[in-house]
Amino acid sequence: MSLLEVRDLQIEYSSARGPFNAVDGVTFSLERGEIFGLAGESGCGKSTTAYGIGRLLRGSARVVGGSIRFDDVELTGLSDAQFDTYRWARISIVLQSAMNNLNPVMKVKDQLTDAIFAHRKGVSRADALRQAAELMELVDLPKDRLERFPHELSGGMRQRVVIAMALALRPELIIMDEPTTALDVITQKGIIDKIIELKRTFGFSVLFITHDLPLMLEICDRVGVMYAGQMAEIATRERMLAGARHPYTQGLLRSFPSLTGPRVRLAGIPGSTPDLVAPPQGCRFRDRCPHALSVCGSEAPPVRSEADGIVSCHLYAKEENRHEAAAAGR
Amino acid sequence: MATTRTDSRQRSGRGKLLAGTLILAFFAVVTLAASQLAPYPKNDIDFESWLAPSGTHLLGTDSYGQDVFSQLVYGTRTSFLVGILAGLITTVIGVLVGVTAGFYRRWVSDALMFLVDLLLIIPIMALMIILASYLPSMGLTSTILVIGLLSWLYMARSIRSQTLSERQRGYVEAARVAGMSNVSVMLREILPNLYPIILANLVSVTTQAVLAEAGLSFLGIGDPKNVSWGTILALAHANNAIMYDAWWWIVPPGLATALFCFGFILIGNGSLERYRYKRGAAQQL
Amino acid sequence: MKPLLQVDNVSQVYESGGLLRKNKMRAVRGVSLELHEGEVLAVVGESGCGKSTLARMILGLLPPTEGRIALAGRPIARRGAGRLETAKRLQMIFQDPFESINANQKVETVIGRPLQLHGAKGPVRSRVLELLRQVGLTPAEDYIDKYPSQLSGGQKQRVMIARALGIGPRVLIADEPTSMLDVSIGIDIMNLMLDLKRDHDLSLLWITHNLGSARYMSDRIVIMFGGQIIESGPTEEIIASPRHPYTEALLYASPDPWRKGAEPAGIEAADRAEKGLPEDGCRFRHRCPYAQADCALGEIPMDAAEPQRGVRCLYPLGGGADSASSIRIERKDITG
Repeated sequence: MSLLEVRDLQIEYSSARGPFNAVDGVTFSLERGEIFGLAGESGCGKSTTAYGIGRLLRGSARVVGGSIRFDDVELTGLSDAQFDTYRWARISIVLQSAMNNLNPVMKVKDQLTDAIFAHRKGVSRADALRQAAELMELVDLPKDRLERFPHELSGGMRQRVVIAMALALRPELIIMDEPTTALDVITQKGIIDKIIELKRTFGFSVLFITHDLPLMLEICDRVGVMYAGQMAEIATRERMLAGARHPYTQGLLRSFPSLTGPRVRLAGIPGSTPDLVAPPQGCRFRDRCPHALSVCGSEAPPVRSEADGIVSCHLYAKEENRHEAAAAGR
Repeated sequence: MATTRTDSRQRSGRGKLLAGTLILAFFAVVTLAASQLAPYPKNDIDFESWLAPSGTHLLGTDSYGQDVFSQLVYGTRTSFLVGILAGLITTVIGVLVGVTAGFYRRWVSDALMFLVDLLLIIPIMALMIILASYLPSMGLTSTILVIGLLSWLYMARSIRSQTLSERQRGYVEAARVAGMSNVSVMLREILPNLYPIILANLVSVTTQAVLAEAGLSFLGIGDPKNVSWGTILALAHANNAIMYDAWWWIVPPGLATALFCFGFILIGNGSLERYRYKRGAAQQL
Repeated sequence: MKPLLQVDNVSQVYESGGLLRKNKMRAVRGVSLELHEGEVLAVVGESGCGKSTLARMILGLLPPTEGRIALAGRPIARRGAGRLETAKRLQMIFQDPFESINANQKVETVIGRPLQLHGAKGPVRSRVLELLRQVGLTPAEDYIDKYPSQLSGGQKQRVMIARALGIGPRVLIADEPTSMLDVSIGIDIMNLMLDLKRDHDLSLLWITHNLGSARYMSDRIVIMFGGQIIESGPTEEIIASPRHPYTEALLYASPDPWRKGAEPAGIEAADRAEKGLPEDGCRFRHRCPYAQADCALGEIPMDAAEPQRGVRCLYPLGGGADSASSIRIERKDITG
C-alpha cells in the first residue's frame, strides 16, 4: 500500500472571471522512502496540489473532488482537529519562501523549539532545546547559530533551519515546494545533497515540487509532469532520461540548455497555456503539440499505464494514432 | 452571458460617475442660473419672518424675513465656486510640491517637507482665521485664496509618499535607460501613475474647501455681503432657529452641502473604478 | 581590433554610516572587460557578485567610483548633452518584465515614446507595428493597443525587446531577462535575441547566474565572484575545462542528470557559505577546496598567461605540477 494516494483530485479557485479548477483530476501515488517529483511550469497546478495535500489552501481555493489517502486514511474527510494530528508529526512541509518568512524577531533556537512545542505535548524546555541542537547537527549547522536571528544567517543556512524544523517530529512525508529556487546553484546543491542524505538516514518520503526538470531528474525516483491542472505523464527517472513519452515533457526537456554535449539550438514549446476558466475541448496541450491529431481536439486523452509510468496522450492510446502521426511526417 | 466581477465593477463605476456628474451638473446649473431660479432677490427682507414653507415661499422665510429658497440658490453659487476653485488651487499646489519633493530627493525634499511639517503644526482653521482677519476685506476671491493656499499640506505629503514609492519602480529605471530626462520621467512616466491618488485627494480637498468656507462663514469671518450655505446656517444658529422649530432654515443648507460632497465622492470613486478596470490588476494602490 | 565596449578597472564603493564610522561596501572591484563587435559576452555570477551593479555603471545609471567605461572609443555620458547619444547606442533588457513596463501605457506608447525621444518625427504607429512583428508578436495590430495587464510575461518581455530594438542600439545588455519566465518561454526569448543579434548586427552583454543559458547564448564568458572577475575566456573552453575552483564548483552544481563522470572531491566545501567574504587575499578562499596559506595574502592578480584566457587564482586547475589538480590528489591522500 502506498504511503500517499491521490486520486482524481480537483481543487477549485474562484477568479474575477469565474471559477476554475487549478487541479483538475490529478492521480498519483507516492511510496514509502521514495522521492517523487511534481514538475511543471507556472499555472500547472503543482503547488496547489501540494497545498491541498497539506491542507494549506488559502483564499477561495477548495478541494471539490477526488481523494487524498495517507497511510490508508482519507485526509479530506478529517476535521481540522483530526488533521492537526497529522500536521508536522506525519506530514510536514518546506515552502519556497519559508526561508524569508522565518520570524525576524525570534532566535533560531526559539523557532525550532516552537515547532516542537506546537505539535508535541508535555515536552520539557530542556528536552526541546536538546532536540533543537540535534536538529541543527542533522542539517550541518553549527550549534552557535541557535542563538542567532534569521537575518544573521545566509539564505542557504536559513533554508537549512526550515528543513530542520520540518524534520522536528520525524515525519513520514515531507512536501517540498521549490525549496531551493531562491538560492544560488552551489548552495542549492549542498541543500539537495543534504536532503538525500537525511532521507537515507530517516527513510521519509519526499514530494518534491519544482519547475527545474534537470534538478528533479537528478534526485527523484519518479516524476509526475503536470500541465494545465492535469497529469500529463508519470515516469521513472530512467524512463525520463531515456526520452519521455508525453510531447509536453519532451518539449520541456528541450527547454533547458545543457552544459554537456554539443551546442544545439533548442526549440522550446511555442504558444502559451490554455485558459483554465474555459479549457479547450479534448487535450489541453493540443494547440502547442507538434504531434496533434484530429482526435486530440475533440476527446480528452485517456490515461494509459505502462510498466514504468503512465501517460495521458492519444498517441499512446491506440496503435493507429501513432501511425497517423508518423504519416503526417511530424 | 455570465456576469463577472470585473464587468460589474465597470458598470458600477460608470453608474457612480454618472450619478456624481449629474449632481454636480445640477449644482453648476443652479450656480449659473441663480438669478433666474431665485424667485426673489438676494437680500430682500420684505417678507414676514418665520414663515413655514408654502406656495409663495418654497422653503419659508427666516427671522429677518428673507426668502430661504432664494438664499439657498444664491448660496449655492458661492459655495460651489469656492469649493471647486479652492479645490483646484489646492490640488495644483499639492501635486507640484508633492511630486517635486518625492522625485528630487535630498535637500529639496527635506526642505519642502520641513516647511510642510512646520505649517501642519498649526490647525488649518486657525491659520485661515488669522489670515482672514488680517485681510482688509474678505471677498469671494480672498476666501477662495485663503482656503486654497492653506489646504495643500496633507495632500502634498500624500502625493510625495506615493511619488517616492513609484520612483523605485522598474519602469522609472527603464525610462532613464531609454534616455529620458529627469523632468520628462517625472511628468510623463510617474505623474500619470499618480492619477488615482491625486483624484482621491482632489475629492477630499474639494469637499474640505466647501466645509471650510461654511466654517469661515459660520464664524462670521467670510464675506458678509455674500450668502453661502455656511452663512445661512450661521444666521439660523445665531437666531435660535431650533427653538422656533424652523427646520426649513436649518436642514436645506446642510443637505445641500452634504449632497455636493457626496456628488464629488461619487465622481471620485466612479472614476477610480473605471480606471482600475481598464488598467487591470496591475494598478495596485 | 578595437573593442566596441571597453570597461576599464571599474569599481563601485558604497559608503554608509555616520560621521565617525564609515562602512565601505565594495560591490565591484577593479573590473575590466571588453565586448567586441558582433560578439555575445556572458557575465556569469551568483546574486551579490556585483553583476547588476556593473550593468548599471555601463549604462550610465550609476557613476563608477573608479575606472572608465567607453563605447566605440568615447566615454559614456551619464547626463547632459551626451546622455541621449549614449542611450541611443546602449540599451538594456531588464530582468523583471512585470516591473519594467509602465502599467499605465499602451504598448504603442511603451515602444513609441522612446522612438520619438530619439528623433522619430510624426506618428510612429507603423514603426511600432513593424517592431512588434520583428519580435514575434503577430498579428501586430492585436497587440499595439493593449495594456501590459493584458499581456503574459513572455509577451511583456518581447515588448521591452521591441522597445530597445527600436532605439537602435549597437550594444544590448540583457540582465537575466528569462529568469522570471517559464523555461519554455525563456528559450523562445533567448532564440529571439540570438536572431535579432544576427539580423540587426548587435553585440550582446548577457548577464546571468545560469551557466547553461550563458553557454547557450555566448561566445565568451567572464565569471564574477565577490565583485571581481575571476575567470574569463571562450565559452566552450571554460565549460570544458574551467581553471578557477569557483567555476568548477558552478559547473558541477548546475543540475545535469546526463552528466557522466564523478564530481571532483572536496567540492562540497564550496557551499560552506557564511555571510560575508574576506577582504584580504582571495575572496573565495573560505569555500575553496584547494586553498593554500598564501591565498590569504594581498591582492590576487588576474593571470593572463594564455591569450584569451584569464584566471584570478594562485593555483588554477588543469595545468602543470603547481596546479590545483595535484593539490587535490595530495589532499585526498591526507584525508584518506
